This record gives sequence, structure tokens and C-alpha cells, in this order.
Amino acid sequence: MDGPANVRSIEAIRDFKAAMLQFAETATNAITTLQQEVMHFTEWLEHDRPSYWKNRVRDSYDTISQARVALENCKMREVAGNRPACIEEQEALAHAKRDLQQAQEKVETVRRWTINVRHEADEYRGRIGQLERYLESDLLKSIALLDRILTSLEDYASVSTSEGDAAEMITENSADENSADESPANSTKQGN
Amino acid sequence: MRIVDMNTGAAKLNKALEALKESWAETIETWEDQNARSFQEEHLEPIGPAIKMALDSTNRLAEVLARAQRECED
Repeated sequence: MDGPANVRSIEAIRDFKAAMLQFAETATNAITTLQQEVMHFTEWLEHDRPSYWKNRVRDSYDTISQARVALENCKMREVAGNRPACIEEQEALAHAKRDLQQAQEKVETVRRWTINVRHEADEYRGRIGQLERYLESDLLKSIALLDRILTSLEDYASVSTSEGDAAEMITENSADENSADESPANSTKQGN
Repeated sequence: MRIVDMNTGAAKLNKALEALKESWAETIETWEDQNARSFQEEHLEPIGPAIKMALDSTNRLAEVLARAQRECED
């Protein structure tokens, strides 16, 4: 220990050691939670999204086919010698084509984001790993040092208590001897 | 619907650090010597920046993931 100690409560230091242990546990749990969230997201992005948008592409092709058939059927109809404009059918076909384009773009978007997120997640794991290693190594060394400080303080306190008890006993014995000297028999002896 | 929640873990980290700081503030009311000062400087002060770096990284990643989710959703 460096220099003279000034500790008015060993219990407070003991409490702080407990607080450090609690901190280590809570921080470690928080890191685990965060890493699980990242893993969950990357699974969604790498597995759920590609299949979702590929299904949408396939569905869009089906919708386009149906819309084309509906439009052809419409065009082949005659009402009072006139062919209908088939505006609704044309709009439905255009809408289906836009859906297809959007779904195809999303397939590409998901692919780009998968690469980007993998890179960002790897960097994140590296940085959060530094904190993990700190908690597993440096923080435990700090707690071990606190333990040594507590042991020194407790040893010193117990020695001080023993010396204090011994001093008290010496003081009491001296008081007893003085009382005995003050008795009439002793006074008499002292007087001589 | 959010696919990812980085806020809960980040909040836990932050709260853990605050609790540790509070506990230390109470401790040094009754422990005022060179050992306390050395312990604070060498063992406690590095914790703040380590947590801050983790939180900054977490916030950055949370933004990236939020953008990814928006663009990859319907």
C-alpha cells in the first residue's frame, strides 16, 4: 500500500468490490444481448429477405401473365361494334410490371446491404470484443487488487484491535495496582 | 416492426457504468488516501472511455441496421 491509509469504513470498500462484480456481470450480459441482436438481424437480412423478394418477383411474373390475359380478353370483346378502351386492364398490367421492377430492385438492394452489414457487423464485433476482453481480464485484476487492499486493511484492523485490547488490559491492571497502593495498609507502608 | 433492438443493450451498459460511478462516489467519502486516488486513476478511469467507445460503436451500427431494414422491407 502506498503511503498512510485513511480508511474510515472497510465495509464501504467491500461494498464497492461487490459493485464492481455487479458491473462486470451486467456489462457482460449487455454485450451478449447486443451481439445476439446483431446476429438476429443478419439472419433476417441474409435468409428471410432474399427468399421474400424472390417470391415477390415470382408472384409479380404470375400477376403480369394474368394481367396480360385479362387485357387480351378485354381487347377481343366488342360492345355494340366497338372495342373497349380496356383502361383498367392496361393499368393493372402496368402496375404488375412496376411491382416486378420494384421486387427485382429489392433483390439487388438486399444483396448490397448483406455485404455492407456483414462488414459493419464484423467491425462492431471487433470493437465490442475489446470491451469484452477488458471485462474478462483488466477488470478482474482491478477486483483482485481491491481484495488485496481489503485483506491488508482487515489484517491491520485486527492487529490494532489486539493491541488496543492489550493496552486496555495494561491500563486496567495499573488502575488496580494504584487502588491497592491507596489502601490504609499500603499508605502506611508508603509513608515509611 | 423493428427487427433489431440495440437500444436495450446500450441502455444496460450505460446504466451499469452510472451505477459503478455512484458506488465509487460513496466509497471515496470514507476512503481518502493515495491508494484510493491511484485505484481511481489506474483502474476506474479507463472504464469510462471503454464503455463510451462501445456505445458509440453500438449507436453507429444501430443506424446502419435501421437504414438496411428500411430499404429491405416492403
